[in-house]
Amino acid sequence: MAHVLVSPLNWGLGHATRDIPIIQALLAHGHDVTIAASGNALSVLRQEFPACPHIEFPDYPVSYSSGHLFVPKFCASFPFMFHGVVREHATLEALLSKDRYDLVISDNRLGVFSSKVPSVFVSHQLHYHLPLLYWPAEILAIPVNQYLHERYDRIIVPDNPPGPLSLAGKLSRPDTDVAQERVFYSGILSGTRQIACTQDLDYLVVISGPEPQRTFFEKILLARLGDLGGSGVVLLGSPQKPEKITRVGDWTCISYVSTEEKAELMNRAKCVICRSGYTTMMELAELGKDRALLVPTPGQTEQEYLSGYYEQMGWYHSVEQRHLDLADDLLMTRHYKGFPVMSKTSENTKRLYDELLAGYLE
Amino acid sequence: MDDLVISGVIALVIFYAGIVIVAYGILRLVMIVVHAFLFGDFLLFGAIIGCIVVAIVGYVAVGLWLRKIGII
Repeated sequence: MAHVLVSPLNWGLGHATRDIPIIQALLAHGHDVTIAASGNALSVLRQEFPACPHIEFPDYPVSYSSGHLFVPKFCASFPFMFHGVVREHATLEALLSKDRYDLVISDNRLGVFSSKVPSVFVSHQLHYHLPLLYWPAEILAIPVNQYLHERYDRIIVPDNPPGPLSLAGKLSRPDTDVAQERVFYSGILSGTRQIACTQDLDYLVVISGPEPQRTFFEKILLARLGDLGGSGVVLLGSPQKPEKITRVGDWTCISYVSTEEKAELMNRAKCVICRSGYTTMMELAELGKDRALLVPTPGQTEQEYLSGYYEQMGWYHSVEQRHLDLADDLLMTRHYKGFPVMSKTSENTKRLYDELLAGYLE
Repeated sequence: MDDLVISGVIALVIFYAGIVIVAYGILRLVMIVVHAFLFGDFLLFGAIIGCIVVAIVGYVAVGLWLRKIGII
Protein backbone atom coordinates (compact mmCIF):
# COMPACT_ATOMS: atom_id res chain seq x y z
CA MET A 1 0.00 0.00 0.00
CA ALA A 2 1.12 3.50 -0.75
CA HIS A 3 1.92 6.42 1.53
CA VAL A 4 0.43 9.82 0.68
CA LEU A 5 1.20 13.24 2.13
CA VAL A 6 -1.79 15.59 2.11
CA SER A 7 -1.05 19.23 2.80
CA PRO A 8 -3.81 21.86 2.72
CA LEU A 9 -3.31 25.58 3.06
CA ASN A 10 -4.55 27.11 6.32
CA TRP A 11 -6.41 30.12 4.90
CA GLY A 12 -9.84 29.47 6.34
CA LEU A 13 -11.07 25.91 6.68
CA GLY A 14 -12.10 25.53 3.05
CA HIS A 15 -8.94 23.87 1.79
CA ALA A 16 -8.90 21.37 4.63
CA THR A 17 -12.58 20.43 4.45
CA ARG A 18 -12.58 19.79 0.71
CA ASP A 19 -9.65 17.41 1.19
CA ILE A 20 -11.70 15.27 3.60
CA PRO A 21 -13.34 13.21 0.83
CA ILE A 22 -9.95 12.72 -0.88
CA ILE A 23 -8.39 11.44 2.35
CA GLN A 24 -11.41 9.21 2.98
CA ALA A 25 -11.00 7.68 -0.49
CA LEU A 26 -7.28 7.07 0.06
CA LEU A 27 -7.91 5.41 3.43
CA ALA A 28 -10.76 3.34 2.01
CA HIS A 29 -8.31 1.90 -0.54
CA GLY A 30 -5.94 0.94 2.26
CA HIS A 31 -3.30 3.64 1.74
CA ASP A 32 -1.50 5.44 4.55
CA VAL A 33 -2.09 9.16 4.78
CA THR A 34 0.03 11.70 6.63
CA ILE A 35 -1.50 15.13 7.13
CA ALA A 36 0.84 18.12 6.96
CA ALA A 37 -0.92 21.35 7.88
CA SER A 38 -1.14 24.07 10.49
CA GLY A 39 -3.64 25.98 12.62
CA ASN A 40 -7.36 25.35 12.24
CA ALA A 41 -6.84 23.32 9.06
CA LEU A 42 -4.74 20.83 10.99
CA SER A 43 -7.22 20.79 13.91
CA VAL A 44 -10.13 19.93 11.63
CA LEU A 45 -8.27 17.13 9.86
CA ARG A 46 -6.90 15.72 13.13
CA GLN A 47 -10.43 15.64 14.50
CA GLU A 48 -11.72 13.99 11.33
CA PHE A 49 -8.86 11.48 11.00
CA PRO A 50 -7.46 10.84 14.49
CA ALA A 51 -5.64 7.71 13.34
CA CYS A 52 -3.65 9.49 10.63
CA PRO A 53 -0.19 10.76 11.55
CA HIS A 54 0.07 14.52 11.32
CA ILE A 55 2.88 17.02 10.95
CA GLU A 56 2.77 20.67 12.00
CA PHE A 57 3.61 22.34 8.70
CA PRO A 58 3.49 26.15 8.83
CA ASP A 59 2.36 28.04 5.73
CA TYR A 60 2.44 31.72 4.90
CA PRO A 61 0.51 34.72 6.16
CA VAL A 62 -2.08 36.48 4.05
CA SER A 63 -2.93 40.13 4.42
CA TYR A 64 -6.66 40.82 4.56
CA SER A 65 -7.74 44.45 4.56
CA SER A 66 -10.82 45.98 6.06
CA GLY A 67 -12.03 47.22 2.69
CA HIS A 68 -11.06 47.83 -0.89
CA LEU A 69 -7.33 48.02 -0.14
CA PHE A 70 -7.18 44.25 -0.42
CA VAL A 71 -5.25 44.19 -3.71
CA PRO A 72 -2.48 46.68 -2.76
CA LYS A 73 -2.01 45.05 0.64
CA PHE A 74 -1.99 41.63 -0.96
CA CYS A 75 0.70 42.79 -3.42
CA ALA A 76 2.75 44.21 -0.57
CA SER A 77 2.70 40.81 1.15
CA PHE A 78 4.28 39.00 -1.86
CA PRO A 79 7.85 38.91 -0.44
CA PHE A 80 6.58 37.37 2.82
CA MET A 81 4.50 34.83 0.93
CA PHE A 82 7.44 34.02 -1.33
CA HIS A 83 9.65 33.48 1.70
CA GLY A 84 6.95 31.19 3.12
CA VAL A 85 6.77 29.22 -0.13
CA VAL A 86 10.55 28.72 -0.24
CA ARG A 87 10.56 27.69 3.42
CA GLU A 88 7.73 25.18 3.02
CA HIS A 89 9.43 23.71 -0.06
CA ALA A 90 12.62 23.18 1.95
CA THR A 91 10.59 21.63 4.79
CA LEU A 92 8.91 19.25 2.35
CA GLU A 93 12.21 18.16 0.81
CA ALA A 94 13.58 17.45 4.30
CA LEU A 95 10.44 15.44 5.08
CA LEU A 96 10.70 13.42 1.89
CA SER A 97 14.31 12.56 2.60
CA LYS A 98 13.32 11.06 5.97
CA ASP A 99 10.21 9.03 5.04
CA ARG A 100 9.01 7.22 1.95
CA TYR A 101 6.08 8.85 0.20
CA ASP A 102 4.49 7.78 -3.06
CA LEU A 103 2.40 10.87 -3.69
CA VAL A 104 2.22 14.45 -2.45
CA ILE A 105 -1.14 16.26 -2.57
CA SER A 106 -0.88 20.01 -2.09
CA ASP A 107 -4.07 21.96 -1.63
CA ASN A 108 -3.06 25.43 -2.78
CA ARG A 109 0.33 25.27 -1.04
CA LEU A 110 2.65 26.56 -3.70
CA GLY A 111 5.86 25.23 -2.15
CA VAL A 112 4.57 21.70 -1.58
CA PHE A 113 5.89 19.92 -4.67
CA SER A 114 8.84 17.70 -5.36
CA SER A 115 10.82 16.48 -8.33
CA LYS A 116 11.42 13.17 -6.52
CA VAL A 117 7.82 12.22 -5.70
CA PRO A 118 4.76 12.69 -7.95
CA SER A 119 3.04 15.87 -6.83
CA VAL A 120 -0.57 16.86 -7.36
CA PHE A 121 -1.99 20.34 -6.84
CA VAL A 122 -5.59 20.97 -5.76
CA SER A 123 -7.05 24.35 -6.68
CA HIS A 124 -10.24 25.79 -8.08
CA GLN A 125 -8.33 28.86 -9.27
CA LEU A 126 -6.41 28.35 -12.48
CA HIS A 127 -7.06 31.99 -13.26
CA TYR A 128 -7.02 34.86 -10.76
CA HIS A 129 -9.73 37.47 -10.99
CA LEU A 130 -8.90 41.07 -10.12
CA PRO A 131 -10.93 44.29 -10.32
CA LEU A 132 -10.94 45.89 -13.78
CA LEU A 133 -8.50 48.59 -12.64
CA TYR A 134 -5.84 45.92 -12.16
CA TRP A 135 -6.26 44.13 -15.50
CA PRO A 136 -2.52 44.18 -16.35
CA ALA A 137 -1.85 42.30 -13.08
CA GLU A 138 -4.51 39.73 -14.01
CA ILE A 139 -2.69 39.13 -17.30
CA LEU A 140 0.70 38.97 -15.57
CA ALA A 141 -0.67 36.33 -13.20
CA ILE A 142 -1.20 33.95 -16.15
CA PRO A 143 2.52 33.20 -16.82
CA VAL A 144 3.21 33.17 -13.06
CA ASN A 145 0.53 30.51 -12.67
CA GLN A 146 1.99 28.58 -15.58
CA TYR A 147 5.39 28.56 -13.89
CA LEU A 148 3.82 27.24 -10.68
CA HIS A 149 1.64 24.65 -12.41
CA GLU A 150 4.67 23.23 -14.23
CA ARG A 151 5.96 22.05 -10.86
CA TYR A 152 3.07 19.58 -10.50
CA ASP A 153 2.27 16.38 -12.33
CA ARG A 154 -1.47 17.01 -12.28
CA ILE A 155 -3.88 19.71 -11.10
CA ILE A 156 -7.13 18.61 -9.49
CA VAL A 157 -9.82 21.24 -9.94
CA PRO A 158 -12.79 20.63 -7.62
CA ASP A 159 -15.25 21.91 -10.19
CA ASN A 160 -17.12 20.70 -13.23
CA PRO A 161 -15.39 21.31 -16.59
CA PRO A 162 -15.85 24.77 -18.14
CA GLY A 163 -19.42 25.10 -19.35
CA PRO A 164 -22.92 25.54 -17.98
CA LEU A 165 -22.23 23.48 -14.83
CA SER A 166 -19.00 25.23 -13.86
CA LEU A 167 -19.23 26.55 -10.30
CA ALA A 168 -16.05 28.60 -10.39
CA GLY A 169 -16.68 30.16 -13.82
CA LYS A 170 -13.61 31.74 -15.33
CA LEU A 171 -11.53 30.95 -12.23
CA SER A 172 -11.32 27.27 -13.14
CA ARG A 173 -10.67 27.86 -16.83
CA PRO A 174 -7.16 26.83 -17.94
CA ASP A 175 -5.34 29.75 -19.59
CA THR A 176 -2.21 27.93 -20.66
CA ASP A 177 -1.23 24.68 -22.37
CA VAL A 178 0.50 23.60 -19.16
CA ALA A 179 -2.74 23.86 -17.18
CA GLN A 180 -4.74 22.33 -20.05
CA GLU A 181 -2.46 19.26 -20.14
CA ARG A 182 -2.45 18.72 -16.39
CA VAL A 183 -5.95 19.63 -15.29
CA PHE A 184 -8.42 17.05 -13.96
CA TYR A 185 -11.91 18.33 -13.25
CA SER A 186 -13.07 16.21 -10.35
CA GLY A 187 -16.45 17.87 -9.86
CA ILE A 188 -17.39 19.28 -6.46
CA LEU A 189 -15.59 17.95 -3.39
CA SER A 190 -17.29 18.72 -0.11
CA GLY A 191 -16.88 17.35 3.38
CA THR A 192 -20.57 18.13 4.02
CA ARG A 193 -22.98 15.34 3.14
CA GLN A 194 -26.71 15.34 2.56
CA ILE A 195 -28.59 13.73 5.46
CA ALA A 196 -32.22 12.70 5.73
CA CYS A 197 -33.86 15.34 7.93
CA THR A 198 -36.74 17.78 8.01
CA GLN A 199 -36.05 21.30 6.84
CA ASP A 200 -37.34 22.90 10.03
CA LEU A 201 -35.12 26.00 10.02
CA ASP A 202 -36.26 28.96 7.96
CA TYR A 203 -32.80 30.51 7.91
CA LEU A 204 -29.24 29.59 8.66
CA VAL A 205 -26.93 32.59 8.87
CA VAL A 206 -23.25 31.70 8.57
CA ILE A 207 -21.01 34.58 9.61
CA SER A 208 -17.48 33.64 8.64
CA GLY A 209 -14.28 34.83 7.05
CA PRO A 210 -11.35 36.94 8.13
CA GLU A 211 -11.53 39.77 10.62
CA PRO A 212 -12.44 42.60 10.77
CA GLN A 213 -15.04 41.93 8.07
CA ARG A 214 -16.49 39.00 10.02
CA THR A 215 -17.37 41.33 12.91
CA PHE A 216 -18.81 44.01 10.57
CA PHE A 217 -21.01 41.36 8.95
CA GLU A 218 -22.12 40.09 12.36
CA LYS A 219 -23.14 43.58 13.50
CA ILE A 220 -25.04 44.33 10.29
CA LEU A 221 -26.94 41.04 10.34
CA LEU A 222 -27.75 40.88 14.04
CA ALA A 223 -29.19 44.40 13.90
CA ARG A 224 -31.59 43.37 11.13
CA LEU A 225 -32.71 39.89 12.14
CA GLY A 226 -35.69 41.40 13.93
CA ASP A 227 -37.08 42.41 10.52
CA LEU A 228 -37.54 38.77 9.61
CA GLY A 229 -40.26 36.34 10.55
CA GLY A 230 -39.64 32.63 11.05
CA SER A 231 -36.99 30.73 12.90
CA GLY A 232 -33.28 30.63 12.37
CA VAL A 233 -29.82 29.93 13.64
CA VAL A 234 -26.89 32.34 13.45
CA LEU A 235 -23.42 30.85 13.48
CA LEU A 236 -20.99 33.53 14.56
CA GLY A 237 -17.89 31.62 13.48
CA SER A 238 -15.82 32.77 16.45
CA PRO A 239 -13.86 29.73 17.67
CA GLN A 240 -11.73 31.98 19.89
CA LYS A 241 -14.73 33.08 21.97
CA PRO A 242 -16.13 30.79 24.68
CA GLU A 243 -18.96 28.65 23.36
CA LYS A 244 -22.12 30.61 23.98
CA ILE A 245 -25.71 30.06 22.89
CA THR A 246 -28.14 32.99 22.97
CA ARG A 247 -31.85 32.66 22.23
CA VAL A 248 -34.01 35.56 21.06
CA GLY A 249 -37.56 34.49 20.15
CA ASP A 250 -37.28 31.82 17.46
CA TRP A 251 -33.67 32.72 16.73
CA THR A 252 -30.59 31.08 18.20
CA CYS A 253 -27.11 32.58 18.09
CA ILE A 254 -24.19 30.19 18.53
CA SER A 255 -20.60 31.41 18.82
CA TYR A 256 -19.10 28.33 17.20
CA VAL A 257 -20.16 24.82 16.19
CA SER A 258 -18.22 21.79 15.00
CA THR A 259 -18.16 20.92 11.29
CA GLU A 260 -20.65 18.06 11.93
CA GLU A 261 -23.11 20.36 13.69
CA LYS A 262 -22.75 22.93 10.94
CA ALA A 263 -23.43 20.28 8.31
CA GLU A 264 -26.58 19.23 10.15
CA LEU A 265 -27.81 22.83 10.40
CA MET A 266 -27.15 23.38 6.71
CA ASN A 267 -29.20 20.31 5.90
CA ARG A 268 -32.07 21.59 8.06
CA ALA A 269 -32.09 25.11 6.62
CA LYS A 270 -34.52 26.25 3.94
CA CYS A 271 -32.43 29.33 3.19
CA VAL A 272 -28.75 29.99 3.86
CA ILE A 273 -27.27 33.47 4.29
CA CYS A 274 -23.50 33.33 3.89
CA ARG A 275 -20.30 34.57 2.31
CA SER A 276 -19.59 33.38 -1.23
CA GLY A 277 -16.41 31.42 -0.50
CA TYR A 278 -15.92 28.57 -2.94
CA THR A 279 -16.04 25.79 -0.34
CA THR A 280 -19.36 27.08 0.98
CA MET A 281 -20.62 27.15 -2.60
CA MET A 282 -19.64 23.50 -3.02
CA GLU A 283 -21.58 22.76 0.18
CA LEU A 284 -24.68 24.45 -1.25
CA ALA A 285 -24.25 22.41 -4.43
CA GLU A 286 -23.72 19.18 -2.50
CA LEU A 287 -26.87 19.74 -0.43
CA GLY A 288 -28.90 20.92 -3.42
CA LYS A 289 -29.93 24.16 -1.70
CA ASP A 290 -32.07 26.28 -3.97
CA ARG A 291 -32.33 29.34 -1.70
CA ALA A 292 -29.36 31.33 -0.48
CA LEU A 293 -28.38 34.94 -0.05
CA LEU A 294 -24.71 35.58 -0.81
CA VAL A 295 -22.83 38.50 0.70
CA PRO A 296 -19.20 38.53 -0.53
CA THR A 297 -16.46 39.66 1.85
CA PRO A 298 -15.65 43.25 0.75
CA GLY A 299 -12.36 43.43 -1.08
CA GLN A 300 -12.07 39.67 -1.62
CA THR A 301 -12.01 39.63 -5.38
CA GLU A 302 -12.66 35.90 -5.71
CA GLN A 303 -15.86 36.04 -3.63
CA GLU A 304 -16.99 39.18 -5.42
CA TYR A 305 -16.49 37.50 -8.78
CA LEU A 306 -18.28 34.29 -7.74
CA SER A 307 -21.32 36.07 -6.30
CA GLY A 308 -21.59 38.25 -9.43
CA TYR A 309 -21.28 35.16 -11.62
CA TYR A 310 -24.05 33.33 -9.72
CA GLU A 311 -26.29 36.38 -9.89
CA GLN A 312 -25.70 36.53 -13.65
CA MET A 313 -26.42 32.81 -14.06
CA GLY A 314 -29.65 33.21 -12.07
CA TRP A 315 -28.47 30.69 -9.43
CA TYR A 316 -28.34 32.79 -6.25
CA HIS A 317 -29.10 36.34 -5.26
CA SER A 318 -26.05 38.28 -4.23
CA VAL A 319 -25.71 41.66 -2.58
CA GLU A 320 -22.79 43.80 -1.46
CA GLN A 321 -22.48 44.07 2.33
CA ARG A 322 -22.91 47.86 2.27
CA HIS A 323 -26.14 47.58 0.25
CA LEU A 324 -27.65 44.74 2.26
CA ASP A 325 -31.35 45.13 3.00
CA LEU A 326 -32.02 41.81 4.66
CA ALA A 327 -35.81 41.63 4.38
CA ASP A 328 -35.92 42.76 0.74
CA ASP A 329 -32.93 40.73 -0.33
CA LEU A 330 -34.37 37.57 1.22
CA LEU A 331 -37.55 38.12 -0.78
CA MET A 332 -35.40 38.38 -3.90
CA THR A 333 -33.83 34.97 -3.23
CA ARG A 334 -37.15 33.35 -4.21
CA HIS A 335 -36.57 34.36 -7.83
CA TYR A 336 -33.39 32.30 -8.16
CA LYS A 337 -33.19 28.60 -8.91
CA GLY A 338 -30.04 27.43 -7.11
CA PHE A 339 -27.22 25.47 -8.72
CA PRO A 340 -28.14 23.07 -11.51
CA VAL A 341 -28.17 19.36 -10.75
CA MET A 342 -24.65 17.95 -10.83
CA SER A 343 -22.74 14.87 -9.71
CA LYS A 344 -22.10 14.78 -5.96
CA THR A 345 -18.95 14.29 -3.93
CA SER A 346 -19.22 10.50 -3.47
CA GLU A 347 -19.40 9.90 -7.22
CA ASN A 348 -16.73 12.51 -7.94
CA THR A 349 -14.32 11.12 -5.39
CA LYS A 350 -14.68 7.63 -6.81
CA ARG A 351 -13.92 8.89 -10.32
CA LEU A 352 -11.01 10.98 -9.02
CA TYR A 353 -9.47 7.95 -7.36
CA ASP A 354 -10.05 5.53 -10.26
CA GLU A 355 -8.98 7.86 -13.05
CA LEU A 356 -6.16 9.81 -11.44
CA LEU A 357 -4.93 8.85 -7.96
CA ALA A 358 -4.87 5.09 -8.53
CA GLY A 359 -2.37 5.64 -11.35
CA TYR A 360 0.21 6.85 -8.83
CA LEU A 361 -0.63 4.47 -6.01
CA GLU A 362 -1.42 1.01 -7.42
CA MET B 1 15.12 24.88 -5.05
CA ASP B 2 17.55 27.30 -6.65
CA ASP B 3 15.25 27.53 -9.62
CA LEU B 4 12.32 28.46 -7.35
CA VAL B 5 14.34 31.08 -5.46
CA ILE B 6 15.94 32.66 -8.54
CA SER B 7 12.71 32.82 -10.54
CA GLY B 8 10.80 34.17 -7.55
CA VAL B 9 13.34 36.88 -6.79
CA ILE B 10 13.48 37.95 -10.46
CA ALA B 11 9.66 38.07 -10.65
CA LEU B 12 9.43 40.13 -7.45
CA VAL B 13 12.13 42.57 -8.59
CA ILE B 14 10.40 43.07 -11.98
CA PHE B 15 7.00 43.46 -10.30
CA TYR B 16 8.10 46.08 -7.76
CA ALA B 17 10.39 47.85 -10.24
CA GLY B 18 7.37 48.16 -12.55
CA ILE B 19 5.34 49.73 -9.74
CA VAL B 20 8.16 52.17 -8.92
CA ILE B 21 8.58 53.18 -12.59
CA VAL B 22 4.84 53.74 -13.04
CA ALA B 23 4.64 55.72 -9.78
CA TYR B 24 7.64 57.84 -10.82
CA GLY B 25 6.06 58.49 -14.22
CA ILE B 26 2.81 59.63 -12.57
CA LEU B 27 4.71 61.90 -10.19
CA ARG B 28 6.69 63.50 -13.04
CA LEU B 29 3.54 64.03 -15.04
CA VAL B 30 1.78 65.67 -12.08
CA MET B 31 4.75 67.97 -11.59
CA ILE B 32 4.72 69.01 -15.27
CA VAL B 33 0.95 69.64 -15.16
CA VAL B 34 1.21 71.73 -11.97
CA HIS B 35 4.18 73.66 -13.40
CA ALA B 36 2.31 74.38 -16.64
CA PHE B 37 -0.75 75.57 -14.72
CA LEU B 38 1.20 77.80 -12.33
CA PHE B 39 3.16 79.43 -15.17
CA GLY B 40 0.04 79.99 -17.28
CA ASP B 41 0.93 77.55 -20.05
CA PHE B 42 -2.67 76.48 -20.47
CA LEU B 43 -2.08 74.96 -23.88
CA LEU B 44 0.41 72.47 -22.43
CA PHE B 45 -1.80 72.01 -19.37
CA GLY B 46 -4.87 71.28 -21.51
CA ALA B 47 -2.93 69.00 -23.83
CA ILE B 48 -1.57 66.90 -20.96
CA ILE B 49 -4.95 66.68 -19.22
CA GLY B 50 -6.50 65.67 -22.56
CA CYS B 51 -3.85 62.99 -23.05
CA ILE B 52 -4.42 61.70 -19.51
CA VAL B 53 -8.17 61.45 -20.10
CA VAL B 54 -7.61 59.63 -23.40
CA ALA B 55 -5.11 57.29 -21.73
CA ILE B 56 -7.52 56.49 -18.85
CA VAL B 57 -10.41 55.88 -21.25
CA GLY B 58 -8.13 53.71 -23.41
CA TYR B 59 -6.89 51.76 -20.37
CA VAL B 60 -10.41 51.03 -19.16
CA ALA B 61 -11.58 50.23 -22.70
CA VAL B 62 -8.77 47.71 -23.20
CA GLY B 63 -9.64 46.12 -19.83
CA LEU B 64 -13.32 45.87 -20.79
CA TRP B 65 -12.43 44.48 -24.21
CA LEU B 66 -10.16 41.82 -22.64
CA ARG B 67 -13.03 40.85 -20.34
CA LYS B 68 -15.44 40.72 -23.25
CA ILE B 69 -13.27 38.40 -25.34
CA GLY B 70 -12.57 36.22 -22.30
CA ILE B 71 -8.80 36.77 -21.94
CA ILE B 72 -9.32 38.00 -18.37
